[in-house]
Amino acid sequence: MTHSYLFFRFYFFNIALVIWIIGWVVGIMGPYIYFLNWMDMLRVDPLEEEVGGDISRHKGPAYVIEDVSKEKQEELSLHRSQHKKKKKKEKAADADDA
Amino acid sequence: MIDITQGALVYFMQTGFAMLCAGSIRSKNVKNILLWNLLDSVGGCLAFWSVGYAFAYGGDDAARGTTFIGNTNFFLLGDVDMEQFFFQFAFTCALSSIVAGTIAERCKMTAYLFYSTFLAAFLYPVVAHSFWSVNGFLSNTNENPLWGSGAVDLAGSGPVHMTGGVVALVMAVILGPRLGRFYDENGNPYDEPREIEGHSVVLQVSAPLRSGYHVLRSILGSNSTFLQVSHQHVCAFSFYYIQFLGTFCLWFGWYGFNPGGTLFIASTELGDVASLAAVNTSIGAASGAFSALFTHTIIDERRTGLVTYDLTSTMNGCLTGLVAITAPCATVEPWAAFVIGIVAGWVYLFASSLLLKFKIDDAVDAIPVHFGGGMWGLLSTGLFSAPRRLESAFGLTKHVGWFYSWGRGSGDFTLLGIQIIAGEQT
Repeated sequence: MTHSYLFFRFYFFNIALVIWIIGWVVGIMGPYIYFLNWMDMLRVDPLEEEVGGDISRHKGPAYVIEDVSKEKQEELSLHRSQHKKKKKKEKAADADDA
Repeated sequence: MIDITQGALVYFMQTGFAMLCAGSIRSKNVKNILLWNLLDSVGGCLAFWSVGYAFAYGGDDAARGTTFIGNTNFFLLGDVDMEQFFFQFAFTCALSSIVAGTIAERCKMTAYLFYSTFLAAFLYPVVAHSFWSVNGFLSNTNENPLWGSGAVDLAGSGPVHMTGGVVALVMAVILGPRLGRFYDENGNPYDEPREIEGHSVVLQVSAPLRSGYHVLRSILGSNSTFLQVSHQHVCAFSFYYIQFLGTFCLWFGWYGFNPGGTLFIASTELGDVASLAAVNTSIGAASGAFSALFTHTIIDERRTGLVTYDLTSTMNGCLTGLVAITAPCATVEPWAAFVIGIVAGWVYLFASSLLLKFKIDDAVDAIPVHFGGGMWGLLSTGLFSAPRRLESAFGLTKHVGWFYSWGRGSGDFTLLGIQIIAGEQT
């Protein structure tokens, strides 16, 4: 056993760990995923990708944006501005009474 | 009881992974990725309970010598170390979540279910067995490991992060990039890869903000200057904060991941070792973020002339530092943790640019973070492990990191050589 071999020994061992993990995972997952792809089970349809998984498979988008109709909004703003005026009038009437 | 708390902390990382993934992808796939993140835990738990644990640690017995895989305790029948199961189950969940982010937006649900349960049932248990079981061929608790050396990987830079990163790489290569990332509709490559920004797409605004905008517009009239300005603000509203929260949840969970790993080693100074692991974890994360941020700034300044500070690189640099320090956290000095973190930031930036060069699309940059960081973590253990720390954490005296055997000079070196040979003969 040469000195230089011992010198790097622990380090080489850690390189071996890296090679073992890469080899094992690529060796097992590579054929497995390749098979799934070959069976056409891996990638979604381009149209489905464009639309998004939420709408096609999960019952609608994640962020629901309510589109409030214009008439309703105008009605609300009118209602609120009049409400304020009404209150002012009532207050003024109260002050007059007092 | 402490073991359970540590396992729960590791499990909390699921929250971090979920937020990181959800914030990094486009809003049209958010429910999809969140469901996957939940199923990582669901499938991972069922698969690891039924067969995974048995393959990893079933029938651990030093008298059996070296084995490739465990073969008893299926469905946790018989005498099982429940604490170890719980901690390892949390690791398994983390592993499959690493992959979920990379392949988001383009992988089928069925394919996802197939591979994620397979990971927890077979792929991960074999690696965990080899690294950590007393019968594993690389384990430092094995009496006769490969080449007389034992793997020093405290909490799984290798078995958890690097394994997840390699699976993500294999999936990403076979799946191909998302539409519109590297190629246009006709399949012609872009000059520059298009960034697919997570969520910051126009009008992905939360409901209250948008209805508030409508009410304002109806009151002020649609041509008001105020509204035009505020509309831009509303449109620029992005969900980066989700990604950001995910990063912090992960960092927090890492305090269970790394110090918790010390609970399963036979150390006499457990408290000290666990504290060192926590300190090194913090230093690794901080220096990883620091180096990724400023290196990115310098590179960007050289390229464009503008000084910018990139949030995404900083977060990913931080995570790479955490992944890298996972293996050596109990066996290196704090100064080494700093060096490891700084290099981890560079590893991230380099690996990330390599992915772009080879046109491999990774939606959350999990491959650079977990593959690159995990590999650097394993290699740095071989470089920086200090004799004193190795002895107090693992009771190992045979091997030390490369820097220490180098620094000792020839006299000590002969001593080390004798120790190794003597260790093999006994």
